[in-house]
This record gives sequence, C-alpha cells and structure tokens, in this order.
Amino acid sequence: MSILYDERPFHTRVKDVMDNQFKVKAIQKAQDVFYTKRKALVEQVPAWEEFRTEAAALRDHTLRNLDYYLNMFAENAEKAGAHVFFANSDKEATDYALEVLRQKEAKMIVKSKSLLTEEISLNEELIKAGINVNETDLAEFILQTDDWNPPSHIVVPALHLERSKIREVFHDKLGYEGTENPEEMTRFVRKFIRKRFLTANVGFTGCNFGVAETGSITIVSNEGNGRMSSSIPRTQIAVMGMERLVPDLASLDVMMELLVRSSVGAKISNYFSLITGPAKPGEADGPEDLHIIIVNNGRTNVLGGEFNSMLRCIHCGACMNICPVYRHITGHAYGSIYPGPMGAVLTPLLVGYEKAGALPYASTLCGECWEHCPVKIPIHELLLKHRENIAEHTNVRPAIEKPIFKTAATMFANSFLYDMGTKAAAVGMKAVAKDDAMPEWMKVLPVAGGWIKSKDMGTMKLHKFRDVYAKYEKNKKKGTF
Amino acid sequence: MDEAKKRDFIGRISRALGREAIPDYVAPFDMSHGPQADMYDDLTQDQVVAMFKTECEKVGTHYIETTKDQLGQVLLDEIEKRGGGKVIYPNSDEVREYNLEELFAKEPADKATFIKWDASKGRDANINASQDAEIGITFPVMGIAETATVVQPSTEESGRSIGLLPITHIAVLHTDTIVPRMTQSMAALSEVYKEDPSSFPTNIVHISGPSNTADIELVRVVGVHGPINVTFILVD
Repeated sequence: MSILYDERPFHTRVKDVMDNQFKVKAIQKAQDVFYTKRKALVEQVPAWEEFRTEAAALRDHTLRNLDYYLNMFAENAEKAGAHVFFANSDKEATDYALEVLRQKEAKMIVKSKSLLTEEISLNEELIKAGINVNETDLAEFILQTDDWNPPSHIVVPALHLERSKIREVFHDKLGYEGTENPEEMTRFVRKFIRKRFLTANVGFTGCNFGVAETGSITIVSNEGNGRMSSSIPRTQIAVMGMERLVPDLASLDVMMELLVRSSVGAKISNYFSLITGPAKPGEADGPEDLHIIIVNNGRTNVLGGEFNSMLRCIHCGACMNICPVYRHITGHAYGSIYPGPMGAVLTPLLVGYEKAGALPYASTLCGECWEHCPVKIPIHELLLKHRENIAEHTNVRPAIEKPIFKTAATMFANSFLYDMGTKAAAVGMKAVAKDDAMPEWMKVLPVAGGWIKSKDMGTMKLHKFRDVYAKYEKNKKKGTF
Repeated sequence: MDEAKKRDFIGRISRALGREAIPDYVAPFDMSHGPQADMYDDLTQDQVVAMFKTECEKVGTHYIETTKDQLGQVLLDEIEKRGGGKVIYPNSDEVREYNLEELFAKEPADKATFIKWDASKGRDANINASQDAEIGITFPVMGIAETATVVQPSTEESGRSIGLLPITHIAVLHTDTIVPRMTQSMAALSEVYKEDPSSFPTNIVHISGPSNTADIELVRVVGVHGPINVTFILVD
C-alpha cells in the first residue's frame, strides 16, 4: 500500500463510508472502548500532564539534534553488529531490502505490523519481485487475506470487517471450516502463521523507538509477532522512520508511560522488545543478520519548519480515538494509511496539497486531539496552518468559496444585516420543520441541503445566543442575575 | 554502512536544522526533574512486591509465591497443573543452583519430559525443541511492579524461543529483583551497557502476561502468536 490508497474525491470516500453503517458503528465502539479505558488509566496517573510536558520536550530535544542522535544511533548499532542503511526515499529503502533478500536467496518473508513499510510500498515491491509475503499481525493478516483490504485504524486496522465476513474470507481463501467465533479463528491463524514463522528466511519489523545511546531498536506488540519476526528467521530487516529516535534507555521509560496508555488504554503492551544488534556468535536463535533501514522519504521537508512538531508523533492513535470527525467518517474517508487528525496533518506533508488538500478540512478544530496527544502536538493549529497555506498558496480551494466569503464578510460586518438574515432563516426553517427537525425533502435543496444533510439539525432558534446574551447583560445591570 | 550515503542523509538533516555539520556535543536532556524521578520513592521492597502482585491480579496474570527451598516442587506442581508434556528449560546458573535437573530426572516420563536448551547443538535443534515443547521455563533478571512485567534477556544459555514458542511460559522471578517502574529497570540496563557494551544482551523482552489480541470486533482473545498461558513464580 502506498500512503494514499484511495485517491477518489474526499466526498466520494465519505459517502462510501456513510453507506456502510457496520464500519461506522465499529469505529464508534472502538472509540468508546479505547476512550473509557484510557481515561480510567490516565486518572490514576496524577502526574500525567507533567509526563506529557516532559515527553514533548524530550521529542523536541531529539528532533532539534536529530543529526547528532542519528549519527550516534548508527555508530552504536554498527558496534553491536547491525547493518545500517540510510534511505532518502521509499525506493531506496525497498531497493535495499530487495538486495538483502537477493543475497540471502530469500523466497518467503514474515512481517510484523509497521506503518512505515506501508508508506514505502514494501509489500508491493516484494510481491513484484516474486517474494512470498506474510503479514502476521492478526488484523493485517485478515486484510491481506481479503485481497489487501485497506486499514481503517492504525492500531486495530481490520475493525471494519465483521466476524462473519472474516469467516467467509478465511473459508474462501484458506479453506477454514470452523465457526465465526473470534477465538477459534485466532487459533486457526496461530497455527497457519506459525508454520511460516518457522520457515521464513527473513523477518521484517518496524521500530517504535530507536535508542541512540545503545543503537537498539524496540518493538511494542501484544500478539507476539514482533517477537517471532525478530527471533526465528535468520535475517531481520527493521524499517525505522528517521524521527523515531530517543536519546537513551531512560527516555524509553517516559515514552512507554505514555504510548500504550494513550493507544489502547493499557498500562503496557504484553511484549516490549529491546533489540541490540543481531544474535551473538554462539546464540542458537535470533537473527544472524540485522539490517536497519532508516527512512527519510520527505521528513526533512517537515523538520525544522512550521510543521516540525508533527514529527514528535509516536503513532499511538489517541487523536483518532477522540476525534468527532473520525468518529463519523472512519479511517477510510481519509484514503491514507495515516488517518484521523494526525493523518490529516501528516498526509499532505508527505504527498502534497494537490492530492491531500481536502484532509485538513476534515476537522472541527475542537482541539481534543491536542488535549489527548501524549506528546502535545498542537494538531488543530497545524490543521489550521494547512488551511492557511492552501488558501494563500494553492488553487485547491473550491472556486465558490470566494463569492461566499465576500458576502459573508459584508453580512458579518453589518450587525443589522446579520440579524435579519439569520432570523429570516429561523422563521423560514420553522415554517418547513416537522417535529422541530428539518424534513427529508430539504436535503435535496442546494444550500440548505448541504447544511443539514450530514447533521440531525434542529431548527435555527429564534432566540439566538446574541439575544440571550444581551438579555443577560441587561439583567446583570439590573442586578437580577 | 555506506559512509557517503550516511553523510548525505545526515547532511540533509543538519541543513534542515539550519547548520552545516553534526554538532560535536549536545548537552543531554535533563530527566532528573521529570515526574518519574521520585515516583514510589517512599515504598519499601515489600510494598513494591505487593504492587507487583496486585497488578498481576488486576490484569489476570497467574502468579505463585514460594521460597528458594520450595521452588523445585512448586515448579513441578505447576508443570503438572499446566498439563505436563515436553518441557524446555535453559542451561543457566539457576537450574544448577536449585538442583532442578535432579528433580526433573526423578519425574515420571508420562507426566513430563525435560529438554535442556543447548546452544552447541545449533539453531535448528533448539528452535525445533522449543516448538515441540508444551512448556518453557525461563529466569528473568528483573521484575517491574507497576505493570507486572518481567524483563527477560536472551543469552547463549537461554534463547528467545524458550519463552515464546511453547503454549505455556513459566517465568521464575526473584522478588528482590522487582523494581517499582521502568525508570529503575532502564537505569539498571543502562549501567550494564555502560560497563561493557559488548556484553549487553542482544534481545531483552519485557513480558507482561500472555499473548493477546482484540483485532476481531475488539473481542479479547488470549494467545495469538506467543504463549497462551503464563505463570510467574515469585521466589522470596
């Protein structure tokens, strides 16, 4: 998969999602579950805000000195026996991986979950080269088996598929004869993939944090596929975004405090692996060769610029677990492997406004994403910055906007016109309303339809806030409040 | 490493940061004032161990308390409770210290058979033995109370596969190695590294319960790729 897996217009993608209520409900349930669990845990950490502040400062410190720490990381990783490759682009990264596979005469690989490998289209390139690719994370395995169905969430990517559909896919593609019980299906997959773990030539993994002090990579996982991919095959290839560094082991303590709580509302993942070089001579398992591919792929365009703070991101998914827009349009409406608020900032940075200029508008700018971000990325401000850039420097903005804003400016500048306009609308809406809600037929109207189509709108109130406030001010003066 | 490629790659980063070259020195990030620095400072070791146990209970990780004298028997009982079968164990000092091999030898073969990890037999033999085993026994070096985690390094004597491939993992942890948080465990690992980087374990896995997933409709299922059952035996 590349960064954008669905390049149809934003509204087409949204409409597609809206037509699939199972998908929408599944995402809403995930939000509710993760939110409740996260909230309960965060409340148990009195110093949560201090941790966020410290983590944000730590990430900024690392980014400000990224050249220094990357150099240190590479030197220490090499000292530990790893091969480090610096890839400026996605193609350089996949070419290097293919070259390693060629040298190892590898025919089959196993892979644990990594968004970055999606970003660089690793699977496509491997398949093109005739390599047997096996996703091993349960959700990724389901998506692969379903002909590479795209992910809808970065933590639980196959949430949009109901169990009956998964059963059907397993039955049709893998000859599964069991029930749609999640435990039974999971056991089936365990057995199916175990064989591949034991015979694969190479294990691909991502890297949550590289540790400059020791040259270590780390893998956070619950299922154990990260452990398998880094323990059983003779060669391990880890792919790491260049910004995913921490200075030292002590930093991991702070990052882990925040990452898993923010991500799924658990104190820690079941497994957290710290891998420093390949297996030593004499060890009877673990990779004999460890390759670490460090990827830029557009990140230097972000580093040090107005969107620099986006590179603090540790891919926890907390922003999408709270976002009211994501709740309604789900991951698939973004069309990007990086969905939700973080994706709406990051995707345009990586692929440009021409292709992803609609995403910064998929937000109410309520700021909940920032409040829940463990590294305090001001996501809503960055989204606004995108909109400013789009308005000022590109032609992506819809042409109709100009006259609308001109009229709006005149209206808002003149309080009498504004008052009359909205009150007229209120009277008008009241006239057509049924049970105080707008009737279905209104949705086909050009302007009002757009306003009420995706919302359950009440009628605009005759007693507007401004009126109520004026009354309040008047009464305050009279001393009746 | 391709040095020219590295110079080019890092050079781009330096330039994005507004400088020509990598700085010679960067003052380390000061973590001494972070909230983690003095958390649980006032706890006694007994309280730290109690926290570990409470956390095990909260997340449903099975643990058994015992003493050094009783460890052998407790281990055999737990093996039986977990259904016996083939058991793989490390070639480590603890096994000798507790005379476990003597005990294992006395156990009737219909209850359990024991295989020792033996790196000299090579990769395939050890991985296959672990894959065949129903139970793997390991001796983690540290425990972390706040998350009920054990810290398990891989060595020549105790490979990655032992606590990974069998359906049941039994980890024997000494309670005096339990620390409150990852703050202390990472500090300890950092000490080990600084003392001699070449002796640093190549793989250290933090294990906090059995393998699990919620990937299908958010239904929690225990046991995906790693062990389905985990027991921590806490030795006082």
